Amino acid sequence: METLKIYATLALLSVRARMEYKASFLLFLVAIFFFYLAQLGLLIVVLARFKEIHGWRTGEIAFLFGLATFSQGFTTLFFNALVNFDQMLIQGEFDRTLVRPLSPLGQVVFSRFEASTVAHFFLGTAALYYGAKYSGIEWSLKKDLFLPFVIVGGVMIQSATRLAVSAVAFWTLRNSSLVHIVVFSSREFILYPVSIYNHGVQFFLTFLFPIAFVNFYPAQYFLDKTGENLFHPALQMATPLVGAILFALSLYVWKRGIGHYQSSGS
Amino acid sequence: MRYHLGMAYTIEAQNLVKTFTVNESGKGLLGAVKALFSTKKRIVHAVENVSFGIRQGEFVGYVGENGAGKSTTIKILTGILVPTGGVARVNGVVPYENRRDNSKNIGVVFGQRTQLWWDLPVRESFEILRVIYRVSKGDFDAMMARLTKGLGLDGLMEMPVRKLSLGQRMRCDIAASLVHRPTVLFLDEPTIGLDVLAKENIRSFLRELNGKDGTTIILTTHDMNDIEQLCKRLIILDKGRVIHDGPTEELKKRFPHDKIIEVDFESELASLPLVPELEPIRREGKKMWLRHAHDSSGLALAIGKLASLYPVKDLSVREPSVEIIIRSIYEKTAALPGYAPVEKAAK
Amino acid sequence: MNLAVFGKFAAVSFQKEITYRFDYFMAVLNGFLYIFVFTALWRALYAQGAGAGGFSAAGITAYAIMAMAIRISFSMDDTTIAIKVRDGSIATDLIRPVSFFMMNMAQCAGFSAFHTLARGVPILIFSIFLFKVDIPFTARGTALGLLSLVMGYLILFMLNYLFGLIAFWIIEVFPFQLMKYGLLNLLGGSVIPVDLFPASMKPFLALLPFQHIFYTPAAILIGHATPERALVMLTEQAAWVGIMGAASLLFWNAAKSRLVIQGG
Repeated sequence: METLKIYATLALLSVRARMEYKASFLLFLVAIFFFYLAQLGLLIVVLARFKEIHGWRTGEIAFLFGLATFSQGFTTLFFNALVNFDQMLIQGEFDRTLVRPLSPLGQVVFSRFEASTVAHFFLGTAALYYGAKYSGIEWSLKKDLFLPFVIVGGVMIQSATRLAVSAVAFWTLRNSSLVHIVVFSSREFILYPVSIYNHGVQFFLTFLFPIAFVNFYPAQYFLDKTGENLFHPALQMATPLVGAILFALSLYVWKRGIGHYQSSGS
Repeated sequence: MRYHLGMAYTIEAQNLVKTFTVNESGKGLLGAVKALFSTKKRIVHAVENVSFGIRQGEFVGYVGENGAGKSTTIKILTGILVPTGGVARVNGVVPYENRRDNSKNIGVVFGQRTQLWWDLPVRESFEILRVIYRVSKGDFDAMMARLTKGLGLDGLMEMPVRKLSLGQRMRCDIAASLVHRPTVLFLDEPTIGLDVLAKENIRSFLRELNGKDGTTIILTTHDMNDIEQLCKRLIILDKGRVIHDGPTEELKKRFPHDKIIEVDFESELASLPLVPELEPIRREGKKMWLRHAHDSSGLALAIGKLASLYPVKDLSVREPSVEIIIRSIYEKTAALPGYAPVEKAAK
Repeated sequence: MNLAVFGKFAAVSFQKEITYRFDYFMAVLNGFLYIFVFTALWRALYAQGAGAGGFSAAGITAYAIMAMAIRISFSMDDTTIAIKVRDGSIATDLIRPVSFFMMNMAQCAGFSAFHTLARGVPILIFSIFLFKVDIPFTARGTALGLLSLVMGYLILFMLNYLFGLIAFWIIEVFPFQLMKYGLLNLLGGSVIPVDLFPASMKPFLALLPFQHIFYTPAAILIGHATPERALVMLTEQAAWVGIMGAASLLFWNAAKSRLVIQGG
């Protein structure tokens, strides 16, 4: 309980520090919004021309976009600090967290809370709403209950991949390009239905770098998309489980990383 | 070595060893291209068999040139790094095994990097630290009152950290490291880049902290005035090894008959040595420091010889300062020729 | 600025890029990931309706690979000006006896040369074999394509330069960079060729320089643009080089005077 209070204080203060520059914060908000709108623009241009992507219609693609963006919003809210984690390490800022009586990860995470992610929530919610409406989802109690689990699972998957690749910096020191791939480029993969890729890529996105569980598999379930089962239909329900396993794994990698850093660092 | 097994030390280092590997990239464009596909690894011995014991209430200077292993030792003692070999204990706790327990007992200041929250008013940083270290409101207020007075923080508390001068920031950083009343304080170059007045402020506060509260302090610094004024004991490190450990005063007695002659020449001299009895140890342009290492009877003669042979403008005879003594100790272990190269001395 | 000085600056930034092996291999991987994504997307889309935008299924794959290879080759560090303004080291650049614009271009050229040789070209060659792409080779088409490539590079460089100069007014330039990336992704042609945009948007696109960065060189290099069309596109591109050059000069003068007013 006490620890939770400490983290809440840290998070609150990091938001306050961000608000010291209100104009910059607002500008950031606008910029993020603009960026994702441009990304959405790409999808709109494609859909205007081709009407559907591999059997997924506009509303369904919007639902995919919504799930990805919404869970990315939560992920960024918590783990934004990890984007520049290698710099924290190189400049010795991380050492500071090791001389305080608190979890280093907790300190990293809660000292850089990123409030500008409200842009993600706004866009994600809009896309989810629009997608659900125009794809004609038949909601049921089961689906209602499953949705929050899918969101949490998606957040855990995205957070886990970020945490794991950030931890790579403990071994390599510089890892900005890897972080770039996982944080930004990987998003490109799941903007489109994973079924468009060849089997190798599908396998990769399902079992090795399982971001297909963030939106594609659960969307199949919500949208009742039968007829294009990849691997096994049970995967459509697996998002929360995959999230939990990945998150635990990534925490383990992070711990190992700190251990390596402490015994090899200069 | 001033370390005896089984005694009650606040800080113990027992045969500490720390090695790490660095990748070497090749020279030039071709070497760089090659390095994309293969790397040479080199093992660096940052700390080699360092032992010392420090008792409660000591004020110890920990000095050495860059890369001598000072920071690595401090990082081991603060729990940031795990040693490759040997054991460290602080208040009986092994820092890298019980990082959190250790962190409650120690304060750390890294002179190069602030631990304050850059964009927030100073007061907020202290408040965060109060929460992190779980200090009660009453204890916190009492400690803050002391720190504000001792370090002259009045008027700084409402300023954002980014607007503080270097000296102001360092005072706040030292205060921040003491919010939880640690019994041991590690200071890694706390006076680097500060002006004389700011240094003096900090020194008098540290003297009081050590004297009144009995806080054990380890100080690494390049400023020998810090050492002479503050540290009763001095540990000198060179290439990862302790080459001297003892009272600072004792160091001066090590060369009881030595005199340092500071000479201003009319013009810069090219040839060295000048007079066989006077050993050149440092040079800055037209100025030169010479050591007379024999008993004082020959001193006047040697100076006379110097003045008759070279265009001397001004000259003074001094007791060797700690800096000069340390410099000569380095050079003996490094087996360098009789004087330090000009660039090195200019520091 | 003479060629030797330009070369020196370029060589330094080339070498700086080479230092980080891990980053290098990750960046190669990143390039391939994008090519995988977009070739798969186009394959799926052109299976539904071939011929859109005048591309065959094979043609759009060739376009996707070429456009992505160009984008990778055009990698630039667009943060240097902002960092220099923030830490004040811009002052040393200003007292150097070389043009600030040319010095930046030299540094960018070295950076991009590394990414062209170490990433762009290998990825292009490897992808051509991997996806069995057939790119028709004519001496004239290649010559025009390379010319277009140089102009596309200049336009992107000046775009980054103009956005970098914003730092003289607003310290935090990242939001502007983010908006620039958004526009570049959407309109630059590295993802979607301009041919596939709705006809109603095309006049609007012509008012912006973005399509001449990746689309024009890629379309000419893979032979998508007819020789006559290629000449028209090159002329437009040249006009944009001129416009951006003039804007760079004006904006730089304004930025410089701003620095003087601030007193450094």
